[in-house]
Amino acid sequence: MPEDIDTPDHDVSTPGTAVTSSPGSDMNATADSYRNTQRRTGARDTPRGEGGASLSASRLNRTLQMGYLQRKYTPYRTPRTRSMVSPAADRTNTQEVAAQPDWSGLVRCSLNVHHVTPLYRCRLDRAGLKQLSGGLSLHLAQLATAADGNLYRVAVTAKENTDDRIALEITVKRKDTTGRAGSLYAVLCNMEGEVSQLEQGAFTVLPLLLMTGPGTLQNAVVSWLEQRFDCRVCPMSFQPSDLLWAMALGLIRGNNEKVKKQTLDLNYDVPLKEAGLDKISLQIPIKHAQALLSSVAQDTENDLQLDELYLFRQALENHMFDYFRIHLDTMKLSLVATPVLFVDKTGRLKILSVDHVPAVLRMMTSFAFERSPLTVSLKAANESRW
Amino acid sequence: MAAEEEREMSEVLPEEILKPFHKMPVRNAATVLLVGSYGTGTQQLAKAMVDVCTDTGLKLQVRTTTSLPLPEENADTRPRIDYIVFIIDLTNRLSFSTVQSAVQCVDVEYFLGRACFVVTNAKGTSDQCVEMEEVSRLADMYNTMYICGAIKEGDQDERTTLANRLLRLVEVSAGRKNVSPLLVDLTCRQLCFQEEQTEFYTV
Repeated sequence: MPEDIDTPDHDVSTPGTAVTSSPGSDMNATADSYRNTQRRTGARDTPRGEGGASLSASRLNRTLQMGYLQRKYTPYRTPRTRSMVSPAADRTNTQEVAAQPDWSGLVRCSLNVHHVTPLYRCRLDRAGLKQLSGGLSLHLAQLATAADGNLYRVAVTAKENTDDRIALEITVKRKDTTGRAGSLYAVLCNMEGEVSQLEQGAFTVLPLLLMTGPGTLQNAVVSWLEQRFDCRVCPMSFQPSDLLWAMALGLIRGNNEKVKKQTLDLNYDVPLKEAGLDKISLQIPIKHAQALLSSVAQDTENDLQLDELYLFRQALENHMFDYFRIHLDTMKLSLVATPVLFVDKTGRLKILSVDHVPAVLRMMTSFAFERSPLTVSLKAANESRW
Repeated sequence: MAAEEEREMSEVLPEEILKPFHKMPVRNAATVLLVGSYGTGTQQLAKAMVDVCTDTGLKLQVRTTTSLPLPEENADTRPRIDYIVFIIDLTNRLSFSTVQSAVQCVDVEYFLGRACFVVTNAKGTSDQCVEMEEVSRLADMYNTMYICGAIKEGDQDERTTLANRLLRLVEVSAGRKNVSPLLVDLTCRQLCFQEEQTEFYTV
């Protein structure tokens, strides 16, 4: 059908195919009619004028293609698909369970997410780690006031994952109290890139930093990291599309029976604060949300497409409009809570079940990679036209 | 015939499509249509454009709408629309979706230099719901330029600057300067050449 030629390309890796079709979109054209009509707002060309007097947009586009007038797209765009399923190493395999690192320190506490530029001269062997512990405790002692001089005990360890990835784990405990009150726990890891990418010359790439603990301690650890490794640690904030990906991960992977409230919570920020309304919270039973997502998504086992996620969001917003006459699409999504995880737009994360920690970390690492300065500047260069 | 094909393809009736050349132009007068949903600042931009235009001798009429197609009651008394401005507010997803459905109700002749997209709230990514990438993809698909400007946020000067820019384009489109809008449109854009990729064409 001539319309298919003008649907935008869904494949990230082929450049310059914004107005041509690819085999993927042809397959999509033969899918449900519901999905096709829902997709009409994105892609259709303008209707042909009557009597053939005016040139149709599809013919115009095709002649332009033949005339080679097209913008080149670099590969650094927002990814349109994400894998919701972890690689085979994550699946519960009784022989490999013992080799899994223990992520229980990250579960059920409020984590602040930061992204980190590559670390310079980070030695992860035993001697190096001892040096790091000593350095951090010295730094904390310098920052502490005279009254509580030697209050903190610092431990820096490395955690090995099944496929030889190393994560750096920092624990700062108060000497006088037991338990987790007043102590900090931080993990620096990289769950997404290939293992060979972890060391690039003298640099170690560990872009994701998750920290939990008192604010002053967090600031102290961040300043020590920046000093010691000559890197930048920036708090990560999530855009609504990132929150949607996290929600999809929570819906697809999540059946966490221990949580009392099995609902999907979405909080929207209302733009006009003077009206007295600050935010709108939408709660949906988790089974309905999962049923909706599986009806919209073609293949929840492996990859989820961005368009399918947008369809899900559109369905919820239309439902809200039909019943309450509230346009949720003028508002910004600020918080997503599922039984498995809880994500905020300011960068707070809470994981409620230890089985899903590797998958969540993988998604967070891919977000951190998208925010690294190199990809950001390449995206900006791509956007600027004239 | 083309008429049968399009009825089964789209939901927009042929009479509802805005066409630029079905009415006669008026001397020294121009009409602009601003398309933008509630909250994007169409009224303020209209007022700014009229204010800028009061002393140039051009009689400017600015019409605003929140969605297309336009109602049929006024179709006879409405003057010829010389220029269409689609306003997208990056903090408002609804404005983007109304523009996406509105561009289907406009004849393709408008996209040869008689229309443009105005993107507001493009600075400050903290509140944005619509990504700039989607807007530039839409603009590429219709081969139409987009201007980033400020209508509600910022000060009066930015609004006046935007109104001035749009007014230059409207004057060309209304026939005041002896230049065709298509020529101006071509000179505005960078043309980038690449090899033909035959494997992506379907017959």
